[in-house]
Amino acid sequence: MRRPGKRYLRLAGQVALATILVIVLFLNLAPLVWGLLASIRPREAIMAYPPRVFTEAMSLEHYRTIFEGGFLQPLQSSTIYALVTALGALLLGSLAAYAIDRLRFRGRYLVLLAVVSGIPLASGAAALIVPNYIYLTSLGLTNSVVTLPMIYIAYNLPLVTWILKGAIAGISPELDEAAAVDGANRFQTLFGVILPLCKPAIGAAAIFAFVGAWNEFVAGSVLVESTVLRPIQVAIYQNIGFFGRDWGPLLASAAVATLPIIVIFILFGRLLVSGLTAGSVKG
Amino acid sequence: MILRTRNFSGETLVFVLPAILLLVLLLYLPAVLGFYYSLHELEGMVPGSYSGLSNYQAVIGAPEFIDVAKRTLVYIVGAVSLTLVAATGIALAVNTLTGPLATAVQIGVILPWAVSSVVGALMFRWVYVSDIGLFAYAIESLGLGPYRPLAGPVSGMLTLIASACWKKLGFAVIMILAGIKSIPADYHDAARADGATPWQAFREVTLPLLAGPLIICSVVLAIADLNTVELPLIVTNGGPVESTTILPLSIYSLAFSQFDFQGAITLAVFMFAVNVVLVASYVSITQRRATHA
Repeated sequence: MRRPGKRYLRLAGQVALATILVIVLFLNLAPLVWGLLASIRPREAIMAYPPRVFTEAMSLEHYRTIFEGGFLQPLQSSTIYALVTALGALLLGSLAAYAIDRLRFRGRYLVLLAVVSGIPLASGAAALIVPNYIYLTSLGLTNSVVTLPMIYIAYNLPLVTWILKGAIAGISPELDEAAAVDGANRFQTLFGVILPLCKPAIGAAAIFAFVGAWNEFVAGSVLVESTVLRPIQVAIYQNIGFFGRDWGPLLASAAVATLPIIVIFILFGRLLVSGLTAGSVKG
Repeated sequence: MILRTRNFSGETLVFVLPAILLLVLLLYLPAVLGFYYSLHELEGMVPGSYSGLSNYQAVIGAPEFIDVAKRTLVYIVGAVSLTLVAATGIALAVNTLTGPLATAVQIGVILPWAVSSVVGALMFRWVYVSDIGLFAYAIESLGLGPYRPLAGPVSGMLTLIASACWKKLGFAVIMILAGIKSIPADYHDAARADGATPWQAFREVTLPLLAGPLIICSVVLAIADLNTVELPLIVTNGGPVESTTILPLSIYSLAFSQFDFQGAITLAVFMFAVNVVLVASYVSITQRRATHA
Protein backbone atom coordinates (compact mmCIF):
# COMPACT_ATOMS: atom_id res chain seq x y z
CA MET A 1 0.00 0.00 0.00
CA ARG A 2 2.22 2.83 -1.21
CA ARG A 3 1.11 6.38 -1.01
CA PRO A 4 2.37 8.56 -3.86
CA GLY A 5 3.48 11.23 -1.35
CA LYS A 6 5.99 8.86 0.12
CA ARG A 7 7.46 8.16 -3.30
CA TYR A 8 8.00 11.85 -3.96
CA LEU A 9 9.61 12.17 -0.57
CA ARG A 10 12.01 9.38 -1.42
CA LEU A 11 12.78 10.93 -4.78
CA ALA A 12 13.43 14.30 -3.14
CA GLY A 13 15.71 12.56 -0.65
CA GLN A 14 17.68 10.95 -3.46
CA VAL A 15 18.03 14.24 -5.31
CA ALA A 16 19.24 15.95 -2.12
CA LEU A 17 21.72 13.13 -1.52
CA ALA A 18 23.06 13.32 -5.06
CA THR A 19 23.41 17.11 -4.80
CA ILE A 20 25.36 16.83 -1.56
CA LEU A 21 27.67 14.19 -3.03
CA VAL A 22 28.31 16.30 -6.13
CA ILE A 23 29.14 19.36 -4.00
CA VAL A 24 31.44 17.32 -1.77
CA LEU A 25 33.24 15.80 -4.74
CA PHE A 26 33.58 19.23 -6.31
CA LEU A 27 35.07 20.82 -3.16
CA ASN A 28 37.26 17.76 -2.72
CA LEU A 29 38.65 17.55 -6.23
CA ALA A 30 38.74 21.25 -7.19
CA PRO A 31 42.31 21.83 -5.92
CA LEU A 32 43.68 18.84 -7.84
CA VAL A 33 41.77 19.50 -11.06
CA TRP A 34 42.27 23.26 -11.03
CA GLY A 35 45.93 22.81 -10.08
CA LEU A 36 46.66 20.32 -12.87
CA LEU A 37 44.75 22.49 -15.34
CA ALA A 38 46.67 25.63 -14.39
CA SER A 39 49.99 23.87 -14.90
CA ILE A 40 49.35 23.61 -18.65
CA ARG A 41 48.17 27.19 -19.11
CA PRO A 42 50.21 30.20 -20.11
CA ARG A 43 51.26 32.57 -17.36
CA GLU A 44 48.68 35.30 -18.15
CA ALA A 45 45.82 32.81 -17.97
CA ILE A 46 46.96 31.55 -14.56
CA MET A 47 47.34 34.97 -13.04
CA ALA A 48 44.06 36.26 -14.49
CA TYR A 49 41.51 37.48 -11.98
CA PRO A 50 38.60 36.75 -12.14
CA PRO A 51 39.82 33.23 -12.91
CA ARG A 52 39.07 32.05 -16.43
CA VAL A 53 37.42 28.67 -16.52
CA PHE A 54 37.95 28.25 -20.24
CA THR A 55 40.99 29.35 -22.17
CA GLU A 56 41.99 27.80 -25.42
CA ALA A 57 45.68 28.47 -25.06
CA MET A 58 47.75 25.61 -23.75
CA SER A 59 51.36 25.79 -22.85
CA LEU A 60 54.08 23.48 -21.63
CA GLU A 61 56.34 26.41 -20.76
CA HIS A 62 56.20 25.69 -17.01
CA TYR A 63 57.26 22.09 -17.51
CA ARG A 64 60.15 23.30 -19.64
CA THR A 65 61.10 25.76 -16.91
CA ILE A 66 61.25 23.17 -14.15
CA PHE A 67 63.04 20.49 -16.14
CA GLU A 68 65.60 23.03 -17.33
CA GLY A 69 65.98 23.92 -13.67
CA GLY A 70 67.01 20.33 -12.86
CA PHE A 71 63.71 18.74 -11.81
CA LEU A 72 64.59 15.48 -13.59
CA GLN A 73 67.13 14.61 -10.88
CA PRO A 74 64.69 14.50 -7.92
CA LEU A 75 62.19 12.70 -10.16
CA GLN A 76 64.76 9.96 -10.80
CA SER A 77 65.93 9.79 -7.19
CA SER A 78 62.42 9.46 -5.84
CA THR A 79 61.55 6.79 -8.41
CA ILE A 80 64.51 4.73 -7.19
CA TYR A 81 63.73 5.40 -3.51
CA ALA A 82 60.12 4.36 -3.96
CA LEU A 83 60.95 1.16 -5.89
CA VAL A 84 63.64 0.13 -3.39
CA THR A 85 61.25 0.87 -0.51
CA ALA A 86 58.48 -1.25 -2.05
CA LEU A 87 60.80 -4.19 -2.73
CA GLY A 88 62.60 -3.98 0.61
CA ALA A 89 59.42 -3.64 2.64
CA LEU A 90 57.82 -6.55 0.76
CA LEU A 91 60.80 -8.83 1.38
CA LEU A 92 61.23 -8.04 5.09
CA GLY A 93 57.47 -7.75 5.59
CA SER A 94 56.60 -11.12 4.05
CA LEU A 95 59.21 -12.90 6.18
CA ALA A 96 57.97 -11.21 9.35
CA ALA A 97 54.30 -11.71 8.43
CA TYR A 98 54.83 -15.42 7.82
CA ALA A 99 56.65 -15.82 11.13
CA ILE A 100 53.96 -13.96 13.06
CA ASP A 101 51.15 -15.96 11.53
CA ARG A 102 52.64 -19.44 11.16
CA LEU A 103 55.52 -19.87 13.59
CA ARG A 104 55.17 -20.11 17.35
CA PHE A 105 58.21 -18.72 19.10
CA ARG A 106 59.06 -16.92 22.29
CA GLY A 107 58.57 -13.18 21.85
CA ARG A 108 56.06 -13.61 19.03
CA TYR A 109 53.60 -11.30 20.77
CA LEU A 110 56.31 -8.64 21.16
CA VAL A 111 57.06 -8.81 17.44
CA LEU A 112 53.34 -8.50 16.68
CA LEU A 113 53.10 -5.53 19.04
CA ALA A 114 56.12 -3.85 17.44
CA VAL A 115 54.43 -4.18 14.06
CA VAL A 116 50.95 -3.05 15.16
CA SER A 117 52.23 -0.06 17.15
CA GLY A 118 54.56 0.73 14.28
CA ILE A 119 51.66 1.56 11.94
CA PRO A 120 50.49 4.72 13.75
CA LEU A 121 53.97 5.42 15.14
CA ALA A 122 55.43 5.65 11.63
CA SER A 123 52.78 8.20 10.69
CA GLY A 124 53.96 10.13 13.76
CA ALA A 125 57.51 10.23 12.49
CA ALA A 126 57.64 14.03 12.72
CA ALA A 127 58.25 13.71 16.45
CA LEU A 128 61.12 11.34 15.78
CA ILE A 129 62.90 13.34 13.13
CA VAL A 130 65.01 15.44 15.50
CA PRO A 131 66.46 12.54 17.55
CA ASN A 132 66.78 10.55 14.31
CA TYR A 133 68.72 13.39 12.73
CA ILE A 134 71.15 13.66 15.67
CA TYR A 135 71.53 9.90 15.93
CA LEU A 136 72.08 9.26 12.21
CA THR A 137 74.49 12.20 12.01
CA SER A 138 76.57 10.72 14.84
CA LEU A 139 76.67 7.40 12.95
CA GLY A 140 77.67 9.18 9.75
CA LEU A 141 74.55 7.85 8.03
CA THR A 142 73.03 11.09 6.80
CA ASN A 143 73.43 12.36 3.26
CA SER A 144 74.18 8.93 1.84
CA VAL A 145 72.55 6.80 -0.85
CA VAL A 146 71.15 4.41 1.75
CA THR A 147 69.81 7.06 4.17
CA LEU A 148 66.34 7.58 2.75
CA PRO A 149 65.62 4.04 1.47
CA MET A 150 66.53 2.72 4.91
CA ILE A 151 64.24 5.20 6.69
CA TYR A 152 61.42 4.71 4.21
CA ILE A 153 61.52 0.91 4.49
CA ALA A 154 61.34 1.25 8.29
CA TYR A 155 58.39 3.67 8.09
CA ASN A 156 56.40 1.50 5.67
CA LEU A 157 57.31 -1.93 7.00
CA PRO A 158 54.64 -2.08 9.75
CA LEU A 159 51.69 -1.51 7.39
CA VAL A 160 53.14 -3.83 4.72
CA THR A 161 53.69 -6.59 7.30
CA TRP A 162 50.18 -6.12 8.66
CA ILE A 163 48.53 -6.34 5.23
CA LEU A 164 50.57 -9.45 4.32
CA LYS A 165 49.88 -11.07 7.68
CA GLY A 166 46.15 -10.66 7.03
CA ALA A 167 46.50 -12.33 3.62
CA ILE A 168 48.66 -15.20 4.90
CA ALA A 169 46.19 -15.85 7.73
CA GLY A 170 43.52 -16.38 5.07
CA ILE A 171 45.44 -19.25 3.46
CA SER A 172 44.88 -22.74 4.80
CA PRO A 173 47.83 -24.11 6.83
CA GLU A 174 47.19 -27.43 5.08
CA LEU A 175 49.12 -25.99 2.14
CA ASP A 176 52.15 -25.56 4.42
CA GLU A 177 51.83 -29.16 5.50
CA ALA A 178 51.53 -30.40 1.92
CA ALA A 179 54.62 -28.40 0.95
CA ALA A 180 56.51 -29.80 3.95
CA VAL A 181 55.54 -33.33 2.93
CA ASP A 182 56.95 -32.57 -0.53
CA GLY A 183 60.22 -31.68 1.18
CA ALA A 184 60.02 -27.89 0.90
CA ASN A 185 61.65 -25.87 3.69
CA ARG A 186 59.90 -22.85 5.21
CA PHE A 187 61.44 -20.37 2.76
CA GLN A 188 60.41 -22.45 -0.23
CA THR A 189 56.94 -22.77 1.29
CA LEU A 190 56.63 -19.03 1.79
CA PHE A 191 58.02 -17.88 -1.54
CA GLY A 192 56.84 -20.81 -3.68
CA VAL A 193 53.43 -21.67 -2.23
CA ILE A 194 52.03 -18.98 0.08
CA LEU A 195 53.05 -15.68 -1.51
CA PRO A 196 51.84 -16.57 -5.03
CA LEU A 197 48.39 -16.90 -3.45
CA CYS A 198 48.59 -13.41 -1.88
CA LYS A 199 48.92 -11.39 -5.07
CA PRO A 200 46.23 -8.77 -4.31
CA ALA A 201 47.67 -8.15 -0.84
CA ILE A 202 51.21 -7.98 -2.22
CA GLY A 203 50.01 -5.48 -4.82
CA ALA A 204 48.25 -3.31 -2.25
CA ALA A 205 51.21 -3.46 0.16
CA ALA A 206 53.70 -2.62 -2.60
CA ILE A 207 51.66 0.37 -3.72
CA PHE A 208 51.29 1.70 -0.17
CA ALA A 209 55.05 1.44 0.36
CA PHE A 210 55.80 3.02 -3.02
CA VAL A 211 53.39 5.90 -2.45
CA GLY A 212 54.58 6.33 1.16
CA ALA A 213 58.18 6.76 0.04
CA TRP A 214 57.22 8.91 -2.94
CA ASN A 215 55.17 11.30 -0.81
CA GLU A 216 57.51 11.63 2.18
CA PHE A 217 58.81 15.11 2.91
CA VAL A 218 60.07 15.69 6.46
CA ALA A 219 62.88 13.09 6.61
CA GLY A 220 63.85 13.85 3.01
CA SER A 221 64.15 17.54 3.77
CA VAL A 222 66.66 17.16 6.61
CA LEU A 223 68.51 13.84 6.29
CA VAL A 224 70.08 14.42 2.86
CA GLU A 225 71.71 17.55 1.51
CA SER A 226 73.27 16.88 -1.88
CA THR A 227 71.11 17.63 -4.92
CA VAL A 228 71.65 14.13 -6.30
CA LEU A 229 69.98 12.59 -3.24
CA ARG A 230 67.16 15.13 -2.88
CA PRO A 231 63.69 13.55 -3.17
CA ILE A 232 60.89 15.01 -5.26
CA GLN A 233 58.71 16.46 -2.47
CA VAL A 234 61.67 18.46 -1.17
CA ALA A 235 62.37 19.74 -4.67
CA ILE A 236 58.75 20.97 -4.90
CA TYR A 237 59.02 22.66 -1.53
CA GLN A 238 62.23 24.39 -2.57
CA ASN A 239 60.46 25.55 -5.73
CA ILE A 240 58.00 27.42 -3.50
CA GLY A 241 60.87 29.51 -2.19
CA PHE A 242 62.34 29.85 -5.65
CA PHE A 243 59.29 30.74 -7.73
CA GLY A 244 57.27 32.47 -5.01
CA ARG A 245 53.97 33.66 -6.44
CA ASP A 246 54.77 32.38 -9.92
CA TRP A 247 52.23 29.56 -9.73
CA GLY A 248 52.94 28.02 -13.16
CA PRO A 249 56.25 26.22 -12.46
CA LEU A 250 55.11 25.44 -8.90
CA LEU A 251 51.96 23.70 -10.08
CA ALA A 252 53.87 21.99 -12.89
CA SER A 253 56.29 20.43 -10.40
CA ALA A 254 53.36 19.41 -8.18
CA ALA A 255 51.65 17.90 -11.24
CA VAL A 256 54.70 15.84 -12.20
CA ALA A 257 54.82 14.41 -8.66
CA THR A 258 51.08 13.79 -8.55
CA LEU A 259 50.16 12.26 -11.90
CA PRO A 260 51.73 8.86 -11.09
CA ILE A 261 49.82 8.76 -7.79
CA ILE A 262 46.51 9.67 -9.41
CA VAL A 263 47.00 7.07 -12.15
CA ILE A 264 47.86 4.40 -9.55
CA PHE A 265 44.79 5.24 -7.48
CA ILE A 266 42.44 5.28 -10.44
CA LEU A 267 43.79 1.94 -11.74
CA PHE A 268 44.08 0.14 -8.43
CA GLY A 269 41.65 2.14 -6.29
CA ARG A 270 39.43 -0.80 -5.43
CA LEU A 271 42.36 -2.93 -4.34
CA LEU A 272 43.82 -0.11 -2.25
CA VAL A 273 40.55 0.73 -0.55
CA SER A 274 40.12 -2.89 0.49
CA GLY A 275 43.76 -3.06 1.65
CA LEU A 276 43.28 0.09 3.68
CA THR A 277 40.19 -1.13 5.49
CA ALA A 278 41.70 -4.58 6.05
CA GLY A 279 44.71 -2.91 7.61
CA SER A 280 43.03 -0.46 9.90
CA VAL A 281 39.48 -1.25 10.86
CA LYS A 282 39.20 -4.96 11.22
CA GLY A 283 42.18 -4.99 13.58
CA MET B 1 49.58 -26.14 11.15
CA ILE B 2 50.90 -24.33 14.18
CA LEU B 3 54.59 -25.05 14.20
CA ARG B 4 55.84 -25.62 17.68
CA THR B 5 59.24 -24.05 17.86
CA ARG B 6 59.14 -22.97 21.47
CA ASN B 7 62.55 -21.36 21.40
CA PHE B 8 64.00 -18.94 18.98
CA SER B 9 65.46 -21.25 16.34
CA GLY B 10 67.97 -20.00 13.82
CA GLU B 11 65.30 -20.18 11.15
CA THR B 12 62.87 -18.03 13.11
CA LEU B 13 65.62 -15.46 13.53
CA VAL B 14 66.09 -15.21 9.77
CA PHE B 15 62.36 -14.57 9.38
CA VAL B 16 61.93 -12.02 12.13
CA LEU B 17 65.27 -10.40 12.79
CA PRO B 18 65.71 -8.17 9.68
CA ALA B 19 62.31 -6.54 10.17
CA ILE B 20 62.65 -6.19 13.93
CA LEU B 21 66.18 -4.82 13.69
CA LEU B 22 65.10 -2.15 11.25
CA LEU B 23 62.04 -1.16 13.30
CA VAL B 24 64.00 -1.04 16.54
CA LEU B 25 66.93 0.91 15.10
CA LEU B 26 64.98 3.48 13.09
CA LEU B 27 61.55 3.70 14.75
CA TYR B 28 61.86 2.76 18.42
CA LEU B 29 65.47 3.65 19.29
CA PRO B 30 65.20 7.30 18.17
CA ALA B 31 62.32 7.69 20.60
CA VAL B 32 64.42 6.40 23.50
CA LEU B 33 67.40 8.45 22.38
CA GLY B 34 65.24 11.56 22.16
CA PHE B 35 64.35 11.10 25.80
CA TYR B 36 68.01 10.54 26.70
CA TYR B 37 69.12 13.65 24.78
CA SER B 38 66.43 15.74 26.46
CA LEU B 39 67.94 14.92 29.87
CA HIS B 40 71.41 16.02 28.82
CA GLU B 41 73.13 19.21 27.87
CA LEU B 42 73.60 19.03 24.09
CA GLU B 43 76.89 20.49 22.90
CA GLY B 44 76.12 21.06 19.26
CA MET B 45 74.71 17.65 18.54
CA VAL B 46 76.68 15.64 21.09
CA PRO B 47 75.06 14.89 24.45
CA GLY B 48 77.21 16.25 27.28
CA SER B 49 76.59 16.35 31.02
CA TYR B 50 73.39 15.14 32.65
CA SER B 51 71.08 18.05 33.26
CA GLY B 52 67.99 16.42 34.73
CA LEU B 53 64.74 18.15 33.99
CA SER B 54 66.23 21.59 33.45
CA ASN B 55 65.59 21.44 29.69
CA TYR B 56 61.95 20.72 30.37
CA GLN B 57 61.73 23.57 32.85
CA ALA B 58 63.24 25.91 30.27
CA VAL B 59 60.92 24.79 27.47
CA ILE B 60 57.70 24.50 29.47
CA GLY B 61 58.46 27.67 31.43
CA ALA B 62 58.82 29.71 28.24
CA PRO B 63 55.73 31.83 27.54
CA GLU B 64 55.52 30.55 23.92
CA PHE B 65 55.02 27.00 25.11
CA ILE B 66 51.53 27.52 26.50
CA ASP B 67 50.53 29.36 23.32
CA VAL B 68 51.84 26.60 21.07
CA ALA B 69 50.16 23.94 23.21
CA LYS B 70 46.82 25.78 23.14
CA ARG B 71 46.93 26.30 19.38
CA THR B 72 47.85 22.67 18.83
CA LEU B 73 44.91 21.57 20.96
CA VAL B 74 42.48 23.86 19.11
CA TYR B 75 43.83 22.61 15.79
CA ILE B 76 43.62 18.90 16.68
CA VAL B 77 40.16 19.08 18.25
CA GLY B 78 38.88 21.27 15.41
CA ALA B 79 40.36 19.22 12.58
CA VAL B 80 39.44 15.81 14.03
CA SER B 81 35.83 16.71 14.86
CA LEU B 82 35.21 18.50 11.57
CA THR B 83 36.69 15.59 9.59
CA LEU B 84 34.76 13.03 11.61
CA VAL B 85 31.36 14.71 11.24
CA ALA B 86 31.83 15.41 7.52
CA ALA B 87 33.17 11.92 6.86
CA THR B 88 30.31 10.21 8.69
CA GLY B 89 27.76 12.13 6.62
CA ILE B 90 29.54 11.38 3.37
CA ALA B 91 30.04 7.71 4.28
CA LEU B 92 26.30 7.36 4.99
CA ALA B 93 25.55 8.92 1.60
CA VAL B 94 28.10 6.75 -0.25
CA ASN B 95 26.66 3.68 1.49
CA THR B 96 23.39 4.15 -0.43
CA LEU B 97 25.25 3.86 -3.74
CA THR B 98 26.08 0.57 -5.42
CA GLY B 99 28.27 -0.84 -8.16
CA PRO B 100 30.83 1.12 -10.18
CA LEU B 101 29.34 4.43 -9.09
CA ALA B 102 30.11 3.63 -5.44
CA THR B 103 33.71 2.73 -6.33
CA ALA B 104 34.14 5.85 -8.46
CA VAL B 105 32.85 8.12 -5.69
CA GLN B 106 35.13 6.43 -3.13
CA ILE B 107 38.18 6.94 -5.34
CA GLY B 108 37.18 10.54 -6.04
CA VAL B 109 36.83 11.17 -2.34
CA ILE B 110 40.16 9.60 -1.42
CA LEU B 111 42.39 11.29 -4.02
CA PRO B 112 43.41 14.30 -1.84
CA TRP B 113 44.58 11.81 0.79
CA ALA B 114 46.61 9.91 -1.80
CA VAL B 115 48.63 12.87 -3.02
CA SER B 116 51.56 14.03 -0.91
CA SER B 117 51.09 16.58 1.86
CA VAL B 118 53.40 18.99 0.05
CA VAL B 119 51.37 18.81 -3.16
CA GLY B 120 48.07 18.81 -1.28
CA ALA B 121 49.07 21.87 0.74
CA LEU B 122 50.22 23.66 -2.39
CA MET B 123 47.05 22.92 -4.37
CA PHE B 124 44.81 23.73 -1.40
CA ARG B 125 46.55 27.08 -1.15
CA TRP B 126 46.16 27.68 -4.87
CA VAL B 127 42.38 27.16 -4.86
CA TYR B 128 41.22 27.99 -1.33
CA VAL B 129 43.74 30.48 0.09
CA SER B 130 45.30 32.44 -2.76
CA ASP B 131 43.77 35.88 -3.39
CA ILE B 132 43.51 35.04 -7.10
CA GLY B 133 42.09 31.60 -6.34
CA LEU B 134 38.73 30.10 -7.26
CA PHE B 135 37.39 30.26 -3.72
CA ALA B 136 38.32 33.91 -3.26
CA TYR B 137 36.51 34.65 -6.50
CA ALA B 138 33.42 32.69 -5.43
CA ILE B 139 33.26 34.49 -2.07
CA GLU B 140 33.81 37.92 -3.60
CA SER B 141 31.33 37.45 -6.41
CA LEU B 142 28.71 36.39 -3.85
CA GLY B 143 29.25 39.81 -2.31
CA LEU B 144 30.71 38.41 0.92
CA GLY B 145 33.46 40.99 0.92
CA PRO B 146 37.18 40.71 0.31
CA TYR B 147 38.53 37.23 1.02
CA ARG B 148 41.75 37.43 3.04
CA PRO B 149 41.93 34.15 5.01
CA LEU B 150 45.44 34.78 6.30
CA ALA B 151 44.77 38.29 7.59
CA GLY B 152 43.65 37.34 11.09
CA PRO B 153 44.53 34.66 13.65
CA VAL B 154 41.05 33.10 13.76
CA SER B 155 40.61 32.83 10.00
CA GLY B 156 44.22 31.62 9.75
CA MET B 157 43.48 28.76 12.15
CA LEU B 158 40.20 27.98 10.38
CA THR B 159 42.09 27.80 7.08
CA LEU B 160 44.61 25.37 8.56
CA ILE B 161 41.82 23.23 10.04
CA ALA B 162 39.98 23.23 6.71
CA SER B 163 43.13 22.14 4.89
CA ALA B 164 43.65 19.24 7.33
CA CYS B 165 40.02 18.21 6.94
CA TRP B 166 40.22 18.36 3.14
CA LYS B 167 43.45 16.32 3.08
CA LYS B 168 42.26 13.48 5.34
CA LEU B 169 38.53 13.41 4.63
CA GLY B 170 38.71 10.59 2.09
CA PHE B 171 40.67 8.35 4.41
CA ALA B 172 38.10 8.89 7.18
CA VAL B 173 35.24 8.23 4.76
CA ILE B 174 36.74 4.87 3.70
CA MET B 175 37.31 3.80 7.31
CA ILE B 176 33.85 4.81 8.50
CA LEU B 177 32.22 3.31 5.41
CA ALA B 178 33.85 -0.03 6.22
CA GLY B 179 32.36 0.27 9.70
CA ILE B 180 28.88 1.00 8.32
CA LYS B 181 29.11 -1.94 5.91
CA SER B 182 29.92 -4.28 8.78
CA ILE B 183 26.58 -3.54 10.47
CA PRO B 184 24.17 -6.37 9.59
CA ALA B 185 21.28 -5.23 7.37
CA ASP B 186 18.73 -7.03 9.60
CA TYR B 187 19.28 -4.42 12.31
CA HIS B 188 18.01 -1.70 10.01
CA ASP B 189 15.14 -3.84 8.78
CA ALA B 190 14.15 -4.49 12.39
CA ALA B 191 14.31 -0.80 13.23
CA ARG B 192 12.18 0.04 10.21
CA ALA B 193 9.66 -2.69 11.08
CA ASP B 194 9.36 -1.11 14.53
CA GLY B 195 8.47 2.16 12.83
CA ALA B 196 11.70 4.06 13.45
CA THR B 197 12.33 7.18 11.38
CA PRO B 198 15.63 7.27 9.45
CA TRP B 199 17.02 9.70 12.06
CA GLN B 200 15.97 7.40 14.93
CA ALA B 201 17.45 4.41 13.12
CA PHE B 202 20.71 6.30 12.69
CA ARG B 203 20.84 7.44 16.33
CA GLU B 204 19.72 4.21 17.97
CA VAL B 205 21.17 1.58 15.63
CA THR B 206 23.93 2.90 13.37
CA LEU B 207 25.68 5.30 15.72
CA PRO B 208 26.16 2.94 18.70
CA LEU B 209 27.44 0.18 16.40
CA LEU B 210 29.70 2.69 14.69
CA ALA B 211 31.29 3.87 17.94
CA GLY B 212 34.29 1.56 17.58
CA PRO B 213 35.29 2.59 14.03
CA LEU B 214 34.63 6.25 14.90
CA ILE B 215 36.94 6.09 17.92
CA ILE B 216 39.69 4.32 15.96
CA CYS B 217 39.27 6.81 13.14
CA SER B 218 39.54 9.79 15.48
CA VAL B 219 42.69 8.39 17.10
CA VAL B 220 44.30 7.80 13.69
CA LEU B 221 43.28 11.30 12.56
CA ALA B 222 44.62 12.87 15.76
CA ILE B 223 47.98 11.16 15.27
CA ALA B 224 48.13 12.22 11.62
CA ASP B 225 47.08 15.81 12.34
CA LEU B 226 49.45 16.13 15.28
CA ASN B 227 52.38 15.02 13.16
CA THR B 228 51.87 16.91 9.93
CA VAL B 229 54.53 19.54 9.35
CA GLU B 230 53.71 20.22 5.69
CA LEU B 231 50.25 21.80 6.10
CA PRO B 232 51.16 24.55 8.60
CA LEU B 233 54.49 24.99 6.79
CA ILE B 234 53.03 25.47 3.32
CA VAL B 235 49.36 26.49 3.71
CA THR B 236 49.84 29.18 6.35
CA ASN B 237 53.59 29.14 7.09
CA GLY B 238 52.71 29.34 10.77
CA GLY B 239 51.10 32.74 10.36
CA PRO B 240 49.63 35.22 10.57
CA VAL B 241 51.98 36.17 13.43
CA GLU B 242 52.51 32.60 14.67
CA SER B 243 48.77 32.00 15.08
CA THR B 244 49.08 28.67 13.24
CA THR B 245 52.53 27.71 14.56
CA ILE B 246 51.50 24.39 16.05
CA LEU B 247 53.75 21.86 17.79
CA PRO B 248 55.11 19.90 14.78
CA LEU B 249 55.98 23.08 12.88
CA SER B 250 57.47 24.61 16.00
CA ILE B 251 59.77 21.59 16.49
CA TYR B 252 60.70 21.46 12.83
CA SER B 253 61.66 25.12 12.54
CA LEU B 254 63.33 25.21 15.95
CA ALA B 255 65.63 22.36 14.89
CA PHE B 256 66.19 23.03 11.22
CA SER B 257 65.91 26.81 10.80
CA GLN B 258 67.12 28.02 14.19
CA PHE B 259 69.34 24.98 14.91
CA ASP B 260 68.20 24.90 18.54
CA PHE B 261 68.40 21.13 18.85
CA GLN B 262 68.11 21.21 22.61
CA GLY B 263 64.80 23.03 22.58
CA ALA B 264 63.53 21.03 19.61
CA ILE B 265 64.32 17.66 21.10
CA THR B 266 62.70 18.50 24.42
CA LEU B 267 59.54 19.62 22.64
CA ALA B 268 59.74 16.51 20.45
CA VAL B 269 59.81 14.26 23.53
CA PHE B 270 56.72 16.05 24.78
CA MET B 271 55.01 15.48 21.44
CA PHE B 272 56.21 11.90 21.36
CA ALA B 273 54.60 11.30 24.77
CA VAL B 274 51.27 12.44 23.33
CA ASN B 275 51.87 10.13 20.36
CA VAL B 276 52.53 7.21 22.70
CA VAL B 277 49.24 7.78 24.51
CA LEU B 278 47.40 7.91 21.18
CA VAL B 279 49.22 4.87 19.77
CA ALA B 280 48.60 2.88 22.96
CA SER B 281 44.89 3.62 22.82
CA TYR B 282 44.83 2.71 19.12
CA VAL B 283 46.54 -0.62 19.80
CA SER B 284 44.36 -1.49 22.77
CA ILE B 285 41.15 -0.63 20.91
CA THR B 286 42.08 -2.57 17.76
CA GLN B 287 43.29 -5.57 19.78
CA ARG B 288 40.12 -5.61 21.85
CA ARG B 289 38.01 -5.45 18.71
CA ALA B 290 40.08 -8.21 17.11
CA THR B 291 39.51 -10.54 20.07
CA HIS B 292 35.79 -9.76 20.20
CA ALA B 293 35.30 -10.17 16.47
